Amino acid sequence: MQDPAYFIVSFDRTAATMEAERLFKARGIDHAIMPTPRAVQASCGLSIRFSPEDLEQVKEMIGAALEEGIFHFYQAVKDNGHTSFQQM
Amino acid sequence: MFIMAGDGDARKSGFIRMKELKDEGRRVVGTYCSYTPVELIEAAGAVQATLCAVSQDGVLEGEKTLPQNLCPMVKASYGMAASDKCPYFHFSDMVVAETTCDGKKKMLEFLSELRPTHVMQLPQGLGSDEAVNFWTNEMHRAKDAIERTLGVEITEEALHEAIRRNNEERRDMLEIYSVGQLEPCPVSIREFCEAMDGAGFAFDKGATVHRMAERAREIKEEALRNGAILTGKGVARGKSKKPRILITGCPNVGVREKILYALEDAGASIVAFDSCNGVKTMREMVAEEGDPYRAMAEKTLKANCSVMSPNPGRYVSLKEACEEFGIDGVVEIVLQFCHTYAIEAVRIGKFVREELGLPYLELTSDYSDSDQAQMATRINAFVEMML
Repeated sequence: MQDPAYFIVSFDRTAATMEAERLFKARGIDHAIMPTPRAVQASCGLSIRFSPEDLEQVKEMIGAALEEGIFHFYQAVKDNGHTSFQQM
Repeated sequence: MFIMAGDGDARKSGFIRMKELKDEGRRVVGTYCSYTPVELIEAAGAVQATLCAVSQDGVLEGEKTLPQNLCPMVKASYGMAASDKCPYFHFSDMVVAETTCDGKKKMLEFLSELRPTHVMQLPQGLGSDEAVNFWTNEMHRAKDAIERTLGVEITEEALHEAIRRNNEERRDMLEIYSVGQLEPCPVSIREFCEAMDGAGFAFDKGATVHRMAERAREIKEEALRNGAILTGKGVARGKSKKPRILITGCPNVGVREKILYALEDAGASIVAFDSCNGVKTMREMVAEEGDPYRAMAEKTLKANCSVMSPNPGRYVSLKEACEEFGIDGVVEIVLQFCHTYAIEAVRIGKFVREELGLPYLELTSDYSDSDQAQMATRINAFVEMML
């Protein structure tokens, strides 16, 4: 199985994305806000991208702060220039 | 060929730009409709955000609160806002909207619980000077509301500059739309829609539209060198390999795949839009001399939307567009439960068939894909008839 290139956490509500961004900044975790990729969800939404080494910390941070069900983790796997996303 | 580099999904990349603007302290005013005086928003130093009214997800969210038997555009507008799925709505400091139709005006009562919403009272018709006077007064009320809500001052100077700049943008948009006058039309509907999204959601819309207008001129010059002709006054009608279609009726972004792309997949070429996201609202400029509030009122009232009664201007603009773009057939899109466009379509259909002598197809639909096959059947039959 290929190593993930990065992880994303997508949010069902924009407010949740903004709250999550505040948490990433407060803890100094490298991140980038991005539109949720079409391969994950055709409709509109925002996600936050972060590095594999921060996965456990991010899962704990988001899980403690936001209600279950409004965030979803995906791993991004690159293969021959194409990126696919697998829900975790 | 038409798309500016990097604009893959312009609506989505616009989210990040909007967030950056907010982080810089800019204020955002959300809008829905061509009746909104965008010049007022620009003169207030705010960023105008066109709010989402096109998503089936939004419809499903909207139906959690609103009755099902409403137009999908009204349900989707509310649904995307209430569910906090639309980042543009999330970032909006206020909304400016109009009492266009029954569904919209009652939905706005709910929307105003989510964000400060200034509702402009649109006159029902244009039968007298009183309508323009009334709408001009509504422009002043909107100005006061924007100033009060955002804590800014809208100066006459800023307003005149916003009018001048928006007129330039309208002229650039007309240049872009004029690519549709080429026969054969070198830009597919998919490319065109992506380009329009790129313009609509660009950070610096004026500069983006201007570059696109320059590209449109290059495309026209190249096409003419390669033997294409420019239509006008019926030239090229009946001579095209692909039937040249004009789209009229309701705002159609929500049915793009099901209807617009299906028309081209069936072998037609969509070359003109006579809907409010098309040529008819771009042709009229806001007068740059005289009272700017009256000028904005007069221009926006020429939208020829079916919510106006009577709506004689629609027949004039439709006839002009059919001649200018060498149209072979007219497709009218009526969103389900849209009473005004549905009723007006009865006369529009007769007008197109009898007075313009053109084939006419009316398609009533919603944003779901449940009637996709049905639409495709009717579209294929219509296009085949013209081939």
